[in-house]
Amino acid sequence: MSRAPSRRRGVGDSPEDAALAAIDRPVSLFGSALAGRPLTLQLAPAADQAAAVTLTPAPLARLDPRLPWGAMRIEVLRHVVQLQAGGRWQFERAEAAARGLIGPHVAVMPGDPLQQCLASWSRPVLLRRLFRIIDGGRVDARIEQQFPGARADLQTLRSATLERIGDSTRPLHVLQRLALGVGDPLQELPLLAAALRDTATVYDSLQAAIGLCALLGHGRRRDDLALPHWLVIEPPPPDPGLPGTDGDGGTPLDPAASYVPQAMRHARLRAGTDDPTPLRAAPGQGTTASHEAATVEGRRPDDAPARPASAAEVTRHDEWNYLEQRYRRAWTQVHEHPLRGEDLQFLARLRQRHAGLAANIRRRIGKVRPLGRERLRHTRDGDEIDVEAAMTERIERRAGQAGDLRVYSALQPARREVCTAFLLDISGSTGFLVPDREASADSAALDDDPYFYASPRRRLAPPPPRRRVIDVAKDAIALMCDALARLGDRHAVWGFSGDGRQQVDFYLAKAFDEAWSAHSAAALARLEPKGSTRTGAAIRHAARKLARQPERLRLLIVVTDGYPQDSDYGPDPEDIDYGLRDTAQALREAERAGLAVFCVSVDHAAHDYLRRVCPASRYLVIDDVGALPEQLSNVYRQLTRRGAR
Amino acid sequence: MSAPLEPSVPPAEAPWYQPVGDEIALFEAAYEARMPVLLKGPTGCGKTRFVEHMAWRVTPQAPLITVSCHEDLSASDLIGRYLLLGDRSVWMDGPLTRAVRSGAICYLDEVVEARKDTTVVIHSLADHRRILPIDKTGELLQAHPDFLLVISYNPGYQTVLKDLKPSTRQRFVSLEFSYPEPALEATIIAHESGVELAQAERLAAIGHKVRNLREQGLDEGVSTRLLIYAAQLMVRGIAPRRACTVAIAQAIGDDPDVQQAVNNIVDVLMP
Repeated sequence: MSRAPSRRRGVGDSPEDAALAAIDRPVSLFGSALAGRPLTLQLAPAADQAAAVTLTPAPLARLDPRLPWGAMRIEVLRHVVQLQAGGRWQFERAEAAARGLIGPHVAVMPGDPLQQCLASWSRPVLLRRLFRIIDGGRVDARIEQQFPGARADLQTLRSATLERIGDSTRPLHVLQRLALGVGDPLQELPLLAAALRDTATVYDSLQAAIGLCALLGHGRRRDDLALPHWLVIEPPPPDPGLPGTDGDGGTPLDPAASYVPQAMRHARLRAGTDDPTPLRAAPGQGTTASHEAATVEGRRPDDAPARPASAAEVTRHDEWNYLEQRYRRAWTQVHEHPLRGEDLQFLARLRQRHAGLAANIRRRIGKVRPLGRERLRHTRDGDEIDVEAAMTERIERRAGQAGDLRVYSALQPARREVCTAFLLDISGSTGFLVPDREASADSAALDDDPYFYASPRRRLAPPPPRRRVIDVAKDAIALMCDALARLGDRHAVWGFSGDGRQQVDFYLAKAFDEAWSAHSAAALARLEPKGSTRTGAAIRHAARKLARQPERLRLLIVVTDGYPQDSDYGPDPEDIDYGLRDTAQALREAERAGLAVFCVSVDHAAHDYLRRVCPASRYLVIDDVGALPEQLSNVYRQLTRRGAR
Repeated sequence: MSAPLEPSVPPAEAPWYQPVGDEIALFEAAYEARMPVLLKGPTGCGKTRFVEHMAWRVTPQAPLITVSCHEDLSASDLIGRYLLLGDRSVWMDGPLTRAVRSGAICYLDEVVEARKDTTVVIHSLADHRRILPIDKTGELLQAHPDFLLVISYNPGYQTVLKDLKPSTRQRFVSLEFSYPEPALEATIIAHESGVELAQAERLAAIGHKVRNLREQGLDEGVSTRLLIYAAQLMVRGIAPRRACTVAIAQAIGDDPDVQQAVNNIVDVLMP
C-alpha cells in the first residue's frame, strides 16, 4: 500500500517525501499483514520530533521517516492494535452512548465518532490529553502482550518518556506514569483500574478519561460539578493493614500521588457500569463517512464532456433480459465520442504529484516483462531437432506405429502478447468527493500530545483540495498508462456514461495505436462525471473493440464506482437486478470471446453485487479510493504474469 | 521417459494427517461410490498428505500413485509409451495406466499445469465409463474396481489462461482445502517438527499474519509446509529468527520489500 496520493500534504520531493517513499512499501506491507487489512502510510503532519498514530484516521498511519526504525515500528503496531476489536477505529457511537460516554454538548455533525464524543464534554482539550495518555497505556500493554518481539523497543520509548517526566508531580504526569505501568493504579487511581485490565477497550479508556477529567475540575469550577452518572466518590472501606487509607493525607502513599486531588483517589465506577461485556449497540447508527456531492467551483457534474455536435458513430448492442431469459436484440445504442483535451499539463502534473507512486507501479509492472524467448518443443517445424521427440518417433515407428512427425523444437517469437483496455465508469456518482478520513485530523492535531510528543504546538499545513472519485480513478489509469507505455504494451482508455438505452456514451480517450503522450493524457483528463451507468452495453462495446486486437492475452479492466443503473435499465428502474444480470451476461460474453475481464470497484457495497456479476477471482473492491493506482497495478501484474508466457 | 519410481507396497504406517473438517468422511463416501475427487487449495496446505493418508485407509492393498503435473506433461506420459529394450521396442505402462490396472488411487497433482491432451484421458476415467483408451496399443482398458482418480489444483495461481474447464471440473467431487486455523496449525507444526507447542503457536501466528499479505500483492501466503520447515530448523538448533528468515521470508518470494515486511512480522511476534 502506498500513501493516498490525493491526501499528501505539502508538495513535491521534500527530503521527508523521499524518505517516506523509501520505507513506504515494506512498512505498509508489515502493517497490513498484522492488521489484516490494507494500511496506508502518510507522512507525519509536520516536521516535528515524533509521529502520532493513535488519533489519525484509519487506515492511515502517519509516520515520520526520520524516526529510528524501532520507534516507527511501534507506531505501526499501535495503529494495528487500534484497528483491532475494542480499538479506537472500532469505536461506535451507539455503544458509547449506551455506556453513558456521550457528554452534554452533543453536536450533530459528521465525522469521527470518537472525536465527537470527546468534544461533547466540557474541557475537551484536557479530556483528549487524558484519553491519549490512558489509551496509549492500554495500547502499549496490548502490544507487549501480542508482540513479544517488540518489547525492547517499547521499553526504550517508555524509558524516554519516563525520563522526560522525571519526578514531576503534575497530575497528568502522575497519570502517565500509571498508564505506563509504574505504580499501583488500584491504590492511586481506582478509576483507572478498568482501563488497565487485559481486556480493556477504547471505551474503558474513554470512560476513565472522562471520569478523571471531571474530577480534575472537581471543586474548582462550580458549573462542572455534575459528574457522569456512573462515577461515584466514596472512600474505600478502611483496610486494617493500611492505616490512613481513608484519605486525609499523611498516608504512606507515593508522595507523587498525594498531589492528585483527593477525590480522584476515591472515585470509582459505579458498580455494574464497569462490566466488561459490551453493551448492546443500537443498529443503524453507522460510522460510515457519507458521500458528498461535488460542489467544486466550475466542476459541476453536468458541464462536461460536451457531446460533439457531429453525429457520433453509433453501434447497437443486445441486452440480456433476465425476466424473459432472452436477449433484446439491438436494444442499446452506443455512441462513440473521440475526446480531445486542452489540459496538456495534466501528464506533467501527474508525474510530479505521484513521482514515488509512479516509480512503484513501474517497478511492479516491470516485473512481468517477459521472459525472453521461449522454446516450443515437439513441433512440426523448427530450427532444431527435439532429440527426445525424435527418439519417441523412432521408437514408435519401430513398434509399427505411425508417428506424428513432430520432432522439431522452435523458438517462439519474443512478442509480449498483452493488450489492455481500461473502461472507466464516468457516471454522475463519480463526482462524489472521496470520503475524507482525514477530515477530523486537524482538530486532533491542535493540542500536543504529552505522551507521544515532547514538542510544543505544531504548525498546520493547509488542507489539501478535496478530490472526487473520478479524479483518483483518472490518476490511477494515467499512471498505469505511463507504466504500460514504458513497457511497450498496447493499451486503450475508454470512458462510458449514458442517458437511456438510445444514448450510451462511449468516450475514446486513448486508442490502442495512439502513443501515450500529453495529448492522450489531456483527453483522459477531459473525462468528467455525467449521466448514468449502463454497464452492460459499455462492456459489450468495449469487448467488441478489444476482441479485434491481435494479442493473445487481451485484458479489459473495468473501473466503476457503483452498480449498473440507468433510467430504463429494466422495467423497474428501482430494481438493480436487471442491470446486474445484464452486466454479468456481458462479462460472460466477453470471457467467451477470449478476453480476460476484471472489475475494480471503489464502492464499499460492491461486494454485494459484484459477487453476483463475476467470480471472486475476477473482481476487486477497493475500500480506499486512494489505493486505486497501486491496486490496479497489482491486478495487472496478476492477470498477465503467467498469461504472458 | 518416466520409469516406475513409486514404491510397490503401501507404507506400513498411516501417514499422519490432522483432520480440519469432515474431509475424511467425505472422501470415504466418495471412494465408496468411486466418485473422482478434486482437491482445491493453496500450496503446502496438506492436500498431498491428505491423499496419502486416505490412500492408506481406503486402498491398503495398493500404494498411492502420484504424478506431479508440469507444463510438458502429455497424455503419453500418463498412459505409457514404447521404449527401446535392446533391439526390441517394448510397451511400458505410464503411472495412470498402472493405477487403472492395479486398482490404486492415482493422484494427479496440479493438474491444470499438464498439457491439454491429458483432459481427454481424464474425462473417460472420471465418469461412469471408467475406461482408459490406449491409442498406441489399441487397448481399451476397463478400470480396476478399486481404482480412483484424484486430482488437485491450486486456484491461487491459476490464471486467465490456465483454468479447469467446466467439463473437467464437473466430473469431480470438490474438496476445498485452506490453511488451518492458527490453533490447529500449531498442533500440526508441533507434530511434524517436534518443536514445543508454544513455539509452534508463534509460528502459526506468523503464518496467519503473513497470509494477510495475499491481498497486498503477495501471490501465495506462507504455507503450513514452510512453517514446519522453520520449526524443523529451530529444533536443530537454528536461532528462531534466522530460521524464519530462511524458511519463510526468503521462501515466499524475491521481493525485498515483502521480505523486509515479513522479517519485521517475525521480529515483533517472536519473543
